Amino acid sequence: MKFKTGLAAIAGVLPASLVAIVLFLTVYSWPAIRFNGFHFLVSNHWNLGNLYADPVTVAGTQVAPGAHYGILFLIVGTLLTTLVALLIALPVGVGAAIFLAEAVPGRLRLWLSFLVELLAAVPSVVFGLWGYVVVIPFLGQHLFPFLSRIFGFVPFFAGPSGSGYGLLTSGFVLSLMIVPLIVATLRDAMVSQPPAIREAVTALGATRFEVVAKVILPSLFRVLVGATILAVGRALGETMAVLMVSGNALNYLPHNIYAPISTMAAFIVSQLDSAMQDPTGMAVRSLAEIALMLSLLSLLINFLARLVLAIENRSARHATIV
Amino acid sequence: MNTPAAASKPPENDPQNVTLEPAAALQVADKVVMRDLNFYYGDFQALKNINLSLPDRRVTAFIGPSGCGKSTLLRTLNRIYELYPDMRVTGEILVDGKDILEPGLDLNRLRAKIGMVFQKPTPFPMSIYDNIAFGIRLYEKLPKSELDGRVESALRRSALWKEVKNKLKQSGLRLSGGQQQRLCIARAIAVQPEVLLLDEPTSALDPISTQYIEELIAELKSDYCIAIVTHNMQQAARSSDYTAYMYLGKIVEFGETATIFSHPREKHTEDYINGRFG
Amino acid sequence: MSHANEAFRLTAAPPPVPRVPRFPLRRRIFSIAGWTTTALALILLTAAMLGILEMVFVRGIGALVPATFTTITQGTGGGLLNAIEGTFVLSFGALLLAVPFGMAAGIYISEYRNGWWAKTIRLLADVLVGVPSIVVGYVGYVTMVDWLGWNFSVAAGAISLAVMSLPYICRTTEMALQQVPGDLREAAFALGAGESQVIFRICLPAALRAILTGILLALAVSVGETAPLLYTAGWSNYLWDGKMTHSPVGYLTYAIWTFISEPFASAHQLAYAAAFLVMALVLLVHLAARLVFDRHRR
Repeated sequence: MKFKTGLAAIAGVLPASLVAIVLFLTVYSWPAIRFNGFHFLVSNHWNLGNLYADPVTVAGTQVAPGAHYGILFLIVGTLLTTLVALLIALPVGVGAAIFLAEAVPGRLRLWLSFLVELLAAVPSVVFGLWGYVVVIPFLGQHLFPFLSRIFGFVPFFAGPSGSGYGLLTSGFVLSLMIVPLIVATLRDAMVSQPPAIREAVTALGATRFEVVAKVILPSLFRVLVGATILAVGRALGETMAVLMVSGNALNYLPHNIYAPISTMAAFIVSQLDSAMQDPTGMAVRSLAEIALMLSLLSLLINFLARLVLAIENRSARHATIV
Repeated sequence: MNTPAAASKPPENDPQNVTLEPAAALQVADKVVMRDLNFYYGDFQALKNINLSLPDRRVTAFIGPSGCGKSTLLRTLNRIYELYPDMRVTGEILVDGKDILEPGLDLNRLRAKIGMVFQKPTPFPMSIYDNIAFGIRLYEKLPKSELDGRVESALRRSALWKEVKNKLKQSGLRLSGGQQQRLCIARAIAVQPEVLLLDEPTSALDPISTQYIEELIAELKSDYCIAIVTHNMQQAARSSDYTAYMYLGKIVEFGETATIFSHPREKHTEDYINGRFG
Repeated sequence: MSHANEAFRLTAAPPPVPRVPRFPLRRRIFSIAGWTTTALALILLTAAMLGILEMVFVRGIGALVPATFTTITQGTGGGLLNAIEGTFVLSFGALLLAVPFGMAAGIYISEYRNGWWAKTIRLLADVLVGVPSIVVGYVGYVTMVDWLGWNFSVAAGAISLAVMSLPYICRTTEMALQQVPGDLREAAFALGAGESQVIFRICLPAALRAILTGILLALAVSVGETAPLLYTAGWSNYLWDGKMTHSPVGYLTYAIWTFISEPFASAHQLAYAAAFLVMALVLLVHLAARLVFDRHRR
């Protein structure tokens, strides 16, 4: 009994550190939340103000003169990169999982899976390096001008194709970072499907691909949704790679998919240096507000995934009892 | 305490309350006595009003179809069921006259006194020697030479000594299935328990290994009160002195093994023994 | 049985020969197109991974010189000794902190899995995995660097990294312990062992290999982290002076990030060399883990 209590106490460091992070962010950013109000979310204007002038008092709070914190462009940038990443990662991930699970023989499957899953192990900053050195020159000089010319009639594909830094590049690099999660989850689920279903459908005269596309894949819909939600969680918080390939736009909403953007996570890194110069501390507290929003977002995502997967588990258990 | 053997509850459709008296009753003392024992998994009652005694220095076999509660009954005797939530027991289990279901009881001591061997061999991930010494070291601080002696005698008693004496430092996981199970028996008796619970000890083994284990049981019963759960009718007939036939959580019939197998009192028992169901 | 079969055979009419319908072209095209696109998806991912490996290792090999390992960084040139040392100090420091607490949490949620506290820890561990690394680094900056006044330091960096790896170590410990058969626990309890003895003498040794693999993977993650360190560990051109607080320390991922955006070739060489070292470690750890699990499965 005593052993259990002691272990429970030591184990408590983990939950305590999470609670401390959220609690701390809330308390620390509270003055910023009050000062910024709702404008924070809908205004497209981040300005630290004049950091060398004497602070002024606005609504009972000391801030640098002219300071205004609005992060609409960050919210838009974060959501758009995540969306683009998902639009790439989902079909590619599902396709790769199908081919790995159904068409690649044993030993080779192990190694190809290893390679694909290794993408998840590549440090974010190495993705950033690769994006910076290899992807941006290629996309900016070859693919983007081509896309802009050929697919100009598609909304958001027209217009100047930019330098290569921007929304589509960030989305592409992000998609590679989240795709292993989708591939691994789906492939494992497919491999562990009972062969009886496969045999039954094949016996009806379906081709191998029809079995996969029309029976197995639909039956794993919830697994796919769960994995996708978790992938979204990872994409939202990704920092270094995005920082290195996004172009770090400020107060600017993208007009097409080649345009530079910035995300909440990357912005915290790129702005902390300047924010630290603010003698009133309001800039750092406003960054804390961004961090708080990011953590609440990841909390929300996690619970959502949990909900979907819990429903999945319940229906699975039901199936075994019947 | 001095009831000759046990009074088992007959099935509900039998109005007569039969008391069974094995002929050997005169010489045997009861080691374990269960009184009005009930067991619940959540809402499900797995044991219903069990009244039964296990005689000392004899082998009692529990037979019956899957899910009849025979393993559950064994698992109440060392309270190993308490590892899992939602399990509840009512009634009494007296071991040497002391109720082991009492709340304040030291469970670890109890389990050291009542050894158990499981269906699948469970060698610990350590050497053969350490497997045996593990249980001894829990409660006794022995000098090396004495510990060696205890390990050797346990291995000798379980007829494993000859096969392993030159590789005591080797991992227990590298033994064959039958050897592993004998190792587990050796490990159980090394603690010097008084009761030995065997839960289908040979169901995962080949016929030769099974034969070894059965010879071992016959050998061990001179010192222990042994309870064995088995699915194998021949095994029950071969290696036990008493047999309890269980069905749906109740003891349908209990008596001397020879009697149960040749002239069962209950039609139900006869049907089961002859393989007509279950 | 056999009699029944014969009777059946004698009386039943021979089964009608099924008329095989012509295989529609539409379905054939659907299948071929399906396999082609899925194959292309896999090729794209494999090519991307090989491309990353190619870039890192080809350029990295060219950038690695003996001086990389023997000299410290000077401006935008020199070696990486300071960063190599810093990465080791930070990562092992983080492990030293995270392993006891993470394993305790993992053991607790595995062995007392149904209690409310275990469920809470498991839930919060999953949430903590999802917290972006920059958030952890940011909180580390404001609390330890600024509020506690530790400045950029090994302690602030290692603690931030440790918080990141706590949930990994917790969940891998739990998973490893869950692989230990329940029979083994029962057998140990049946011998009269107490909870701590069952856990420390039976379950943990049996799960040791899987737990060590998990810790190794957590180490690889730590070595590759950048965001939690930027504003906690800082950067230093010099070797670590041994102080836990009040002195910044260099690390490899920072070198990748900062030196690739400098306009000098010598700086780029440092970035590539650092990327090579980080990726080599990540690759080695993952290969080792894969081999361990393959052998384990067999």
